[in-house]
Amino acid sequence: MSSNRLILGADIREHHLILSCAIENQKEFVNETFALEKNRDADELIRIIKEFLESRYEHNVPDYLVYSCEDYPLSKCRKIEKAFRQDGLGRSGIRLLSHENSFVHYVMQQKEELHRHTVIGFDFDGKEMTAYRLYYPNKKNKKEMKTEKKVIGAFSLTGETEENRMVLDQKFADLSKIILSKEVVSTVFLTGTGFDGKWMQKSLKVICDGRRAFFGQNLFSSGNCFYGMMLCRNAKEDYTVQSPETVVYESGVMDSGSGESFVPITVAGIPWYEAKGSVDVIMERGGRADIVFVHSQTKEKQVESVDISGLPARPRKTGRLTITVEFTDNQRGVITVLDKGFGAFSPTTHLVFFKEFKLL
Amino acid sequence: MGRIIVTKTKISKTPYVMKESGNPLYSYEELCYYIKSRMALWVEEKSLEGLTEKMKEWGLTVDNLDHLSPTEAAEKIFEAGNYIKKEEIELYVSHMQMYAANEHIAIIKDKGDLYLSYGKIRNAYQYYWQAFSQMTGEEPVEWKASLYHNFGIVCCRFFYWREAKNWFALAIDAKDSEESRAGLELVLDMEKKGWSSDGSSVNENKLLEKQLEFVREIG
Repeated sequence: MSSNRLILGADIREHHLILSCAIENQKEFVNETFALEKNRDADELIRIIKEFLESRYEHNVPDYLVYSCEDYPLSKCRKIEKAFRQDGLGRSGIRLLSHENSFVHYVMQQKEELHRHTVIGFDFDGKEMTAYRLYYPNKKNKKEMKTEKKVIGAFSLTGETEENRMVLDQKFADLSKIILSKEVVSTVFLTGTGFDGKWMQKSLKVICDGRRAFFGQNLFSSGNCFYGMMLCRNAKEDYTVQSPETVVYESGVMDSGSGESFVPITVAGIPWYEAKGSVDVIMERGGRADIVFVHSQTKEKQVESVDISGLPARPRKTGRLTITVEFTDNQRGVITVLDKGFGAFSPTTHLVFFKEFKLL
Repeated sequence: MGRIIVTKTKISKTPYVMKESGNPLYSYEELCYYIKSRMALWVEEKSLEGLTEKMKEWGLTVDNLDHLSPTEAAEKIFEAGNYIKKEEIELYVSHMQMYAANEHIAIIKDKGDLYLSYGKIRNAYQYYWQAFSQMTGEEPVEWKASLYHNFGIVCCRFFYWREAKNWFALAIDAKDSEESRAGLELVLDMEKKGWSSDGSSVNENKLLEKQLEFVREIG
């Protein structure tokens, strides 16, 4: 396997694009921020990325591209992703991460002392402040974490006057005091262009009181890049994180070809928008396909059956189906069953069966 | 509750075509199904050239199958995937050995039937004659009726109309059935329209048309 594979993390913001790039097995990241035009689109993003790669990596194409795109609706993200794919970026895989998950991956790649206790992240674009909290619900178990995200309104830097800056500083100091006094916080990460301008005086004292604080624009792009590295190594996190967007169920089917063993379709512990998978099966008998959802912690099972009795009668074991499981949030989704026929013995009907599910 | 077998094999764009029947196979599962459901034809395969490569294309690894007998190859093929359960493999292989031995009259007729279903009339004709030569008269009437009926179809496909008429009549004598009556009616209908014993008075196109109609009618 090549050791020169390239991983690109991209954080697409409202007015700028932040890129973090690394070569597999190398610790150094190259970070760069680019301003975006008002009418930004996928073509502009691709042009910037290609110019960046050309100048830094002699046209090397990234194997994995992990991007976050919080300011866009999911449908637009998928369009951008499609354009990336068509342009050959991320040839081994393209993934979408939320800032919340990106924050987790960034934090977990830092020295252990920086995330021994709760970690707080503040993202401020000058108009809106978002706080992220990564904590351990069970203090003794440092492998299981939870995250919270809170958008804090009424935070804006309007007008670059000294008075405005002082007001903002005071507000942020007060907010930080409230947030940081509740528990032991190891580290605070600050990111976003809103923190530029050296307005933090009082607030910085509060934040740095007994803990470490870091400021940089590339938190999410680096978090994405760290995740891409993990994908590149085909590794799995040795920690589990629960966030409101994490799917806690593993989905799969019971395979009678291997003694009724469970074959997964989607895995647990990933964001719902990334939890999509499919499996090809041969129907042995029965007019329905059963998909099993297993809770990753309690191991409780929920079975969702898709009625496929509309398929023509066929001899036993002569029907091939593709079962796809896709989530629309962390608890709901759609199961799709597509008839693929059985070659010349039984041509496909092209019938597709759908079933919506809700996990309890 | 539905029972399913998960498969990780691929479906190929170009099929592997069985040489004896001309049956195209696009996936490993189709191959296994073909072997188990058309065992009588499988054991007749003279060459399995290209099948090892096709198995690789489908995502499975097997040792070279080229020099193995169909029965030996079938065992290796079944073991390569999970379509046939382990406990079933031995049973299928022992059945296959029976088919390969070619001794039992029922197996010989099965072969004729399968060749007929794939339109391989000469092979079907050959096996049906072999079956006739081994008949003792003690066979079940259903079995005999089926043999006569199918041989009637073979005769039609060769344009031996007079013989076809006789075989359908024999089939009805053995055991009356709608299929054999339909066959006989069609041949009689052609007689009314002026076919001679060698078919020479009937335009060839019309004959083919009739033959097709007949085959459609009786399935």
